[in-house]
Amino acid sequence: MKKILLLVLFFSTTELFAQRPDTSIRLTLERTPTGQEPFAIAIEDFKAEDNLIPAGDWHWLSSVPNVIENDLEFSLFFNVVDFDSTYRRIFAVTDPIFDDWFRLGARFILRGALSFKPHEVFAQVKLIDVNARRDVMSKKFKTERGFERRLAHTIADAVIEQLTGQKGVSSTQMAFASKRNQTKELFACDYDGENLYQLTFDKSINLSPAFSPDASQIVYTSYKSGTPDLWIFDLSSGKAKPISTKKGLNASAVWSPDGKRIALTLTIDGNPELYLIEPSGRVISRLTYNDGIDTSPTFSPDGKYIAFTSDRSGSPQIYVADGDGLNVTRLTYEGNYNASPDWSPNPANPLITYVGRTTGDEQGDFNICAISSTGGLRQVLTNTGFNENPHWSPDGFHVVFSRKVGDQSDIFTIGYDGTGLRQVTNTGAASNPVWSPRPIQ
Amino acid sequence: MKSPYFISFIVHFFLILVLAFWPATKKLVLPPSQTIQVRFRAAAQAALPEAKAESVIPKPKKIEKPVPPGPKLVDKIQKLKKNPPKQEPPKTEPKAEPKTTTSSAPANTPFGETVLENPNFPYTYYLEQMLNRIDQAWENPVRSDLPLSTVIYFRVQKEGRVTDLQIEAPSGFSSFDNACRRAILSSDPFAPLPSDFVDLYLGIHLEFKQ
Repeated sequence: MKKILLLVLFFSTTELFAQRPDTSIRLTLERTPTGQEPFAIAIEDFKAEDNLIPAGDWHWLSSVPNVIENDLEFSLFFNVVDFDSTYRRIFAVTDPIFDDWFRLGARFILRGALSFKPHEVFAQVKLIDVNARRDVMSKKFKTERGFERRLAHTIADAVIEQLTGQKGVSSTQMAFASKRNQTKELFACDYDGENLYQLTFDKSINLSPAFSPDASQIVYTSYKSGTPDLWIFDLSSGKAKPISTKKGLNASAVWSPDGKRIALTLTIDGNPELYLIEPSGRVISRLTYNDGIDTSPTFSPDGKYIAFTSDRSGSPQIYVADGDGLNVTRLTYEGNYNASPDWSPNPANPLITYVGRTTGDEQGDFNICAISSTGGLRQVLTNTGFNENPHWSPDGFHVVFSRKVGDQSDIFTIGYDGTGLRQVTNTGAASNPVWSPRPIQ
Repeated sequence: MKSPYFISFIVHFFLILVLAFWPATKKLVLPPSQTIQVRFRAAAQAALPEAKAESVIPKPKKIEKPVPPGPKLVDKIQKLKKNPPKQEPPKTEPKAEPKTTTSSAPANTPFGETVLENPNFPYTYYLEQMLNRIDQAWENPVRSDLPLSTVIYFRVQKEGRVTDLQIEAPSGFSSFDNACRRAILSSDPFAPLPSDFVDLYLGIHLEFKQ
């Protein structure tokens, strides 16, 4: 009885403390994007197809399944079944077989075999339905030597697509700016933070990267030539060139979904306004006309609408307009600071994520929020700290953002329902993250 | 005395000649190949051997020509249920049902009895996920206590696309029928069919209830 009383007390006090001074409501969303139970899957260590594996490569037999496990858990669609230590002791099993996984509650088993050739690695992978005792997927994958992690990501995406019909994000990357001494250079890494590599070596300040829809190019603002110009970086050649060097600011650029236009902020007329330009740099049209600051444009997935930040009402708020800048409507009304919107690329879940000051006063936290593209109540995804620059994953189920603690800034991801916070970088110097689209096959 | 031998020689000679120059226009006719369909029971509670069940995939599989959708199809399926065709002798499990039904739909879903056209579809996860997605997309426009029921037939192709959708048994309320149809179409495409499932498509008779 005492225990129950204590529990009641605990919940009522947490409820009291959970009351925030603002009126935002944290909506409870379904855990998995389709609203169903996650698939319980067992992932076995891979076998060696032959014994010709070089000594330094044996670890891939367990590393590749580990990467796949990480990808599947991240996707929100899967629950990876552990080979439980108690079970192992009771049944004296060292190598689990079909029956063991069945008893442990796995609904699917992923089995694979690797074979290493001088320049290539092959993986033969089977996904087995435990109830039906039949294969759901049987596929062969290959990659060049040295790209074993990428192979694992490809396998994970194939499993996700086979079982859910949706494309995964395991093979995507992130780009971000990272502080080195007094400069900021662009870096890229896999979505899980691995495979970090430096893109620019300008010894200058580079900001706001944005991927082209085919993930082959990045536009960004660079002070390389002294003024904030818009540059384009080609990922295959590693070369960069300026595309918009108008007088004043050329900043916060973003590609349209068809890749034919870039929306950005220019100050050629004195005041920061939104413009549309071609990737060659030619101005197509001016989108906004007012005395306030208009910045941070983002396109709807069909390219017909634009959301952006404007302080025309006195404080920064999110607005939505037609693709030509007409029919502007205000989207956010909660809080006195709402900025840097990003429109979800998933048309089935039309949300816009942004940074909002959630506690009303001047010292309030800056949290990552999400709101329906037609307005309504906001959902607050994060609950602490100084969070900036949210960007959606290509499936619209995750958001990447940077979080500042003191003078340290790192990249994090969070699920669209506010669960599954993960730290991507730990250098304390990363900001301005952006999630790449899926590479075109 | 020579004549019988001579006549026999002549006859044999001509027979050999005729056989040698017989016009080879008629092709060799083989007896029609028999299509054997092996049925699997939905294996949820089955005992568990270390399964290499993949090796008993029914082959060769009869590839059916797509039947033009229409009420005839329903009749045909009804007949099939009553009289299983000759070329499908239930070889391994003679008592297997000619159809798979998931009748015990949970109370809070709009679904009644779901009948599968393909008896050899043991992947319950696939059906669960499919019904779940349709359920998510389902919005009932009819506000009344009237019991309504619509049966919709559709096919899921290998890569998950929905085809041949038709209202098989209308409810009498076109808005209800159309909402059911919309729920399926807006869930299209579903996940790809499992690789071990050898049929060209999965045919589903889905009942919506209110």
